[in-house]
Amino acid sequence: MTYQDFKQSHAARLMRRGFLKFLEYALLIGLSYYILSPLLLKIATSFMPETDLLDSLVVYIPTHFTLWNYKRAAEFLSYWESLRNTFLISLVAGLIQMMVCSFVGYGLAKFKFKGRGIVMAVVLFSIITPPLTYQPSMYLKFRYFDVFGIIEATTGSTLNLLDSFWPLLILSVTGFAFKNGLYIFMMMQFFRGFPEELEEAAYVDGYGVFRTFFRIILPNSIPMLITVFTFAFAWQWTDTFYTSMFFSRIKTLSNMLLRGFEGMNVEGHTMALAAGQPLTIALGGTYSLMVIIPLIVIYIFTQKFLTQGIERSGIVG
Amino acid sequence: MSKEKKKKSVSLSKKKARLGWVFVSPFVIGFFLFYLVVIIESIEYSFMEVKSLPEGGFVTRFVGWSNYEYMTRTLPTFMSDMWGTVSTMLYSLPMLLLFALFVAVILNQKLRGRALFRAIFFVPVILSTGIIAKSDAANNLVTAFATMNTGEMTTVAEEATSAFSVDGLMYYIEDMFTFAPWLLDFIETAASNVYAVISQAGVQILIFLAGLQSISPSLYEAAKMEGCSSWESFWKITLPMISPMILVNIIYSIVDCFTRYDNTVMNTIQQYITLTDYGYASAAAWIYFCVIAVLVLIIFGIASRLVFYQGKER
Repeated sequence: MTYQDFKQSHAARLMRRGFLKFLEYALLIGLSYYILSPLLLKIATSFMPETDLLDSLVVYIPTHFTLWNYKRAAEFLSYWESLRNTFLISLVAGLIQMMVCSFVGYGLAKFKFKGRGIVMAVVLFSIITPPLTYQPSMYLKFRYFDVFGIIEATTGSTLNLLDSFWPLLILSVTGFAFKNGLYIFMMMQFFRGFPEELEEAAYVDGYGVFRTFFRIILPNSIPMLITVFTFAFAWQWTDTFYTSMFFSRIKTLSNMLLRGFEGMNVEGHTMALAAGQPLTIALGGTYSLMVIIPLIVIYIFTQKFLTQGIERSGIVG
Repeated sequence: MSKEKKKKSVSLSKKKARLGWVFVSPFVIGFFLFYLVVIIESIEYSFMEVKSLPEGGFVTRFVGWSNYEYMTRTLPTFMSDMWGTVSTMLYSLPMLLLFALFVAVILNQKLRGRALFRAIFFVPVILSTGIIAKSDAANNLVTAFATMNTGEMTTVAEEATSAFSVDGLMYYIEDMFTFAPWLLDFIETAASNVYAVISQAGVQILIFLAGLQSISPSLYEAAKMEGCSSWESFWKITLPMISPMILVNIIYSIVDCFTRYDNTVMNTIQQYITLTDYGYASAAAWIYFCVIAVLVLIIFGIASRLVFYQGKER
């Protein structure tokens, strides 16, 4: 091959690579538009005053830009208090679920013991059964909480754990909270792909099982752990199933959004807002944006953490 | 000497078995503490007629299989909704997985604005579950406008857009495809599924992404040194290494198909719960459970042969 040939083939390769990159970006940008399109109208209407909402000539660009929707929505459904509560609950629940699920997943993936098959079957069982099935029983269980009748025997009555953080904490610690079966399964599948030499080497070095788990295994599974944490956090953030079941007085973002803006009194209106009115809907859309945006910001931060994680690890393989 | 060694190894494996129980103990405790009771209660309800009293509380009466019979025989929509969801799921599952893996591979590359794209692909994860989906379904701005604007404005707007309206377009297309209506049907379902696939794939993309990021770059480097093209290293490295996560995604997608907010099967169950008709609700839920369990078992049977676990091989 002459130098000329080499140069030509090199140029052709560069062209091809450039074309592929172009296709990649075109695809990603198109898909991004597709994903974001339902949000665009919401974002647009969140800046519109009521006159614009009623004007059918105004679709995307507000004629009188205003932050009124944000202010009133935050006021009416006590945004900041709910945000603080939701953040706290999601963070604690996410961290606990991440730890517990990786713990259980590791036990199922790497230890052979009698009854392992049964435990695995129960994990799958808990993934498949819809939470709807046991909603009433679960509610009653935490309304009259008892550990095998011990509490009633000692104090004379059962505990009412509703409207406290205990039900979620108990569910998270035992790996039965929202979609925890999935996280256990994810971690289990991930650990099953771990080379056994890693642990054997650690044992030879005199590490115990727990020290190996915390010092060797966990640092090498950061991408998976972060993904589990992200799911747990985000789904706790938007969850209404457990929050509406357990919290009636504790304000969370999802509960507030579920309540909606019906019955809100607005200056200039003789009647309170009703369901289905444009302003009610625009306020609801604004509030749901206010629920989503913190999550996305937090996700971008964890992403940074994630990429750092990979560069550190990479023993798997 | 050998006897002593054997004894030691037995105790070691026993010790490991005990440690295994320690690791899974939180889950086992939770199972016995409330999950088992709750599940048994739900099964009991499915064989009972549950009536709520006006002053609070419930009356239950054992009715045998009649709740199940009502669901499968009397109620015309439930089973057909069930099979409908199963067939849609089987149809969209391969598409969903391929799409998720494809996007995950692209997002795992070095790209300008990768963090931004990842954040965008995270949006469906938030939008599709929990409160946001619910509130969106209730607060549809478009339908609100349709009911609000009953004056002259609507007619003007309709005239302005009628040339491009979906109905008009469908009319022209149907006119063009009179020779093969099944082809039109097929293309139409595939095209109308595209958005569903994209909005459902968020979780799967993230799971694949986490799997991809756990593959050591040194494997790819070694393959490149041996002269593998990137196409070959996808098939020989990426796919086997990611296969445990494919199984996770299959299970997740199956369950997700049914538990989405717009699924009719789940909505039927929800309706009965709102009516405090726990007997019917539980029976419906257990029928659903049996269908899914069979599907999952079949897939597990197939997948356990195909999935590659790095730890096991050596």
